[in-house]
Amino acid sequence: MLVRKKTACVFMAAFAGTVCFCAPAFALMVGLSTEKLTLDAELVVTGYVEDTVSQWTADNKSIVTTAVITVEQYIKGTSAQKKIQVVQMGGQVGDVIMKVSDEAALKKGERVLLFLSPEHELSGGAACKIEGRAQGKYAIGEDGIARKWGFSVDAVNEEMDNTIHIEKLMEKIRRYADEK
Amino acid sequence: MKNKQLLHYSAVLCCLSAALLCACTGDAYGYTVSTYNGHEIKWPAPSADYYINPSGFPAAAPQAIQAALQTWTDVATSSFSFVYQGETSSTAYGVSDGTNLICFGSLSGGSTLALNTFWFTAQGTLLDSDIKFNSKFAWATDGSAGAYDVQTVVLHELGHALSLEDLYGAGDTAKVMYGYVSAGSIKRALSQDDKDGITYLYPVGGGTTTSTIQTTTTTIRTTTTTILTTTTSTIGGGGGTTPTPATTTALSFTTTTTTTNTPSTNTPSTTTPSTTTTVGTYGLCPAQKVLGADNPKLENLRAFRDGLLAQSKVGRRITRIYYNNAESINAAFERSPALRALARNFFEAAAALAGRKQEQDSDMQ
Repeated sequence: MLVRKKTACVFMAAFAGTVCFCAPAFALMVGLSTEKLTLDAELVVTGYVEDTVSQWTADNKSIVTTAVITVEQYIKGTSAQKKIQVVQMGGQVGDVIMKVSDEAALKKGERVLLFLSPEHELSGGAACKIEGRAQGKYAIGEDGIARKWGFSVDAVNEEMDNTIHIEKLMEKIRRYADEK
Repeated sequence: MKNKQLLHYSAVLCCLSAALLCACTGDAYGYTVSTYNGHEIKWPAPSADYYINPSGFPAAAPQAIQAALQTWTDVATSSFSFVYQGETSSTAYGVSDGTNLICFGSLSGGSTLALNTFWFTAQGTLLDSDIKFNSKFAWATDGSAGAYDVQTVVLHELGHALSLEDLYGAGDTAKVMYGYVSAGSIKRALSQDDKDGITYLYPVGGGTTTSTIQTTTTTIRTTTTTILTTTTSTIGGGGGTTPTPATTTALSFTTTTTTTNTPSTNTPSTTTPSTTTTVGTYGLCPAQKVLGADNPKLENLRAFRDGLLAQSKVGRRITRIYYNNAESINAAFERSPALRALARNFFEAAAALAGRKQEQDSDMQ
């Protein structure tokens, strides 16, 4: 009986480990290091996705999604704003979904770390965009681990920090921002 | 007897584990298929037309792209064919106009080599797929070092257009759907796993069936669900009404079918829950018993059950076995705290994995 329990535990651990490392994606990008993302972004924030709304653009040709981020803290840059709007191409309106291959969807309720810059094309600078598309978004888990996925890059870049503890990540970002 | 029962429960849990594993990774098959809310994303027929706008491409790029289209079409075990429709001057990249376009130009965000914008319905039916190469990078058709090979990259992107996803495993490096492509490298032939992927989606004799499977949510015992009914917003902090949450209480042992309205132009989405229908009586869900009725992780497990498991006979059978044995499984949990603790760990891990899978699916939104 004990052996069977152990077997079950081993099986479950094995499958959990296998699935955890699964990260399907849909893109082809140059890998951006944390340093590069930090330098390119005007703002780096942690916060929660308060809401997301998708709608057609004025020309009815595309769908854009606006996410409202409730900022926990500014890691790079400062602002009095406690809420930031982030605009991304793609989304769902009714029965129709538009997907752009390497955009990282912001999911309502999730805690995130974002590398942001002003977005001019769609919002005239009133909203932000994510630097490096999916590479500029970390989802922060309850375990304190920041993870990013949803893209593929032209070569393995060991400085990309795809999975890293949030405290360590913030420390790196602050260091890179200060060096600048 | 106890051993026999434990074996039985373990079998049920292992079946769920295997189903989760297959659903979340696809690695057992050597390829991964894109899904959206449990629906496989597929073309309505085993065929897709593509046009090429040669402007800006290297001179031989149209031939290289045609060769890539033909490579996927030539898979003998699949009925799918990419049909080259000729050159166009269209620059309508990313527009759902029914014209699938491969073009060349600048892309916002300087780190993107190539982009695939595609449109599909909530039921997973593909409508349009456009591929754009970033003119910022060096492209070649002759394998020049330091330049990206057009045929290699478009072959990979067409795999995405078929609904195959990137693979990252150490054993995936030879596959076209491997997630890393280096400048100067050439990969113009499909691996057997790539072929298996297109064959799975569009088998010979598979006809023109679409993946229009109705979304069904099964709710066990009384559960309160909050659904966002109306949302409007304007980019740039403009007007809009506040999202209105509506609360609906599902009855015990019921099936709830959720339908999505067809959009009108420029109208934000509206989701309307329909009425409920009693379908049968089951024992208390063991996961609910172990995790607690109010545990939010149950939603992940339910979504997994009602999405991926509900799509296949095997999945539905696993669900049926699970619920048919719910009472005896629960009784075993009562008798054995150790088994209960083991099951709790399992369900929590499974919920986390199912949640991760949903996140990946939601990335498609």
